[in-house]
Amino acid sequence: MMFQRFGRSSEQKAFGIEYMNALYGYALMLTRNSVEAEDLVQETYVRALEAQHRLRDDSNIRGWFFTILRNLWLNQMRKRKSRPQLVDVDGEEGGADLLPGHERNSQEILIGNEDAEQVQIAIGRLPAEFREVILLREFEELSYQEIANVLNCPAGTVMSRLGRARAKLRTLLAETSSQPLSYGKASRR
Amino acid sequence: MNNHDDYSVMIQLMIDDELTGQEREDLISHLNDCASCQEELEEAKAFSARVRSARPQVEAPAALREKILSSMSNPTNQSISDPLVQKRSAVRAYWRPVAAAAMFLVVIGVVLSISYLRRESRAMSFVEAAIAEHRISGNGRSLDVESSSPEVVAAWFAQRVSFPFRMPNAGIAADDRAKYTLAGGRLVKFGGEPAALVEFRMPNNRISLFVSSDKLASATGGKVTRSDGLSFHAEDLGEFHVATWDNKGLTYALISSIAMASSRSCSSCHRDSPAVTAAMKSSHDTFLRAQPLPEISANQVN
Repeated sequence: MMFQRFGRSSEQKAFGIEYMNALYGYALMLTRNSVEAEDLVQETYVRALEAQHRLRDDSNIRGWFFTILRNLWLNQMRKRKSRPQLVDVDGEEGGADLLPGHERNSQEILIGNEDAEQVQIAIGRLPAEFREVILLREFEELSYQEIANVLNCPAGTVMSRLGRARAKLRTLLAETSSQPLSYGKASRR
Repeated sequence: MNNHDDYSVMIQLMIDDELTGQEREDLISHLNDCASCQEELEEAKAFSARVRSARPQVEAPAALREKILSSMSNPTNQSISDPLVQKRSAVRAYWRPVAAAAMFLVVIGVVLSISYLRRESRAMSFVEAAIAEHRISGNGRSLDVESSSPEVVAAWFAQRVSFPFRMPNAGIAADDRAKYTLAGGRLVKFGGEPAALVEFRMPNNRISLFVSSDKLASATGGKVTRSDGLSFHAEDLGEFHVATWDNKGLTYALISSIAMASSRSCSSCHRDSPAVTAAMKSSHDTFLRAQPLPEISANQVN
């Protein structure tokens, strides 16, 4: 990691670039808007470059990028004087449209198979707070502590939230699997 | 001993690689003996694998990647390609000097404002004190020293005030064309310190000259006339005409009820003569100009 952070090589110039797709996916989930997501990711790298000297040797750079991105997004929400959508834990939101890459005109996602699409649809129907923790754990494979750092909450909260999110996801998947997949697709049109 | 609910939690923690040490050993030991928990473990693993396999293959737009890489390789070029970063970069480029300049201006502004307000406040309180003492004199308060001699009055004050008292000479105290005469003075207080009130009298009027150290007061406001390095501030406050000025560590306030706004105002206090008319012209400013210089001090008297 040292060459990435402190060196003068070409690798240093690409500091954290390997996380860009993941960050973009996370930004899409938060913003639900590709333009905003791009701005958010770009701003994340600008801030990360400015602050990389503060990283310790044992810092988790990937989690750190996610934390920066989320904090920037929260700041944007505050500036807009609207509450972040993620606080709405109990509300159900509309299907896979909210999942990263599931914007109607998105060309950025390649769905591997039908089951994957069902899972994505179900995740998209999760409350935003659950969706976020599922994304960070299952898709990005961050540890509980790393997720806690990103979400700025205790690791115990991450554990309990993740448990509830999985339980909800199981329920939704059970419902989804009982319905034809085409229903889900048609509902988004 | 853990129950199955506890093991359910631990199973998920193990799948998430959050179990370490003894807890992990305990769970593995339990799983060897518990078919139900083994089944739950397999189901949870399968569920987690199913979810992970659904990870969207999100790929950031190529243009975004290029922007980020470009900004990393040459941060100074960020502004060329991207409006957002252009805005940020522009802000950053000028942030420090602009912020420093802004801060400097703010500090200067605050200092000047405070200084101005203090000066205004001091000036007003000085003028107010002068007017108050002028009123007191008008109510029959006797003078502490009675003399028509500027030297005598100056000497008297010099021994009683903490500042080097000087009597304005030419315009007030020693103007042989003046219709007023020096009556004397009273020791008064201003800002907790002794101050001088010099009184001049006319047949139907009187003039008070309030004198204090400029450490406690300062002349400001009103219509300003500059002459011989001094600034005279003239204004009308109610029925009183007030003229203030600073000179050599002292601040003076001249209080009178005499209207001095007209071209004939000079004749109110000075006898008409071609020379006076030529010297004083028609304005009150000219009247003020002649008053304070030169001055005579207690030292000169002694």
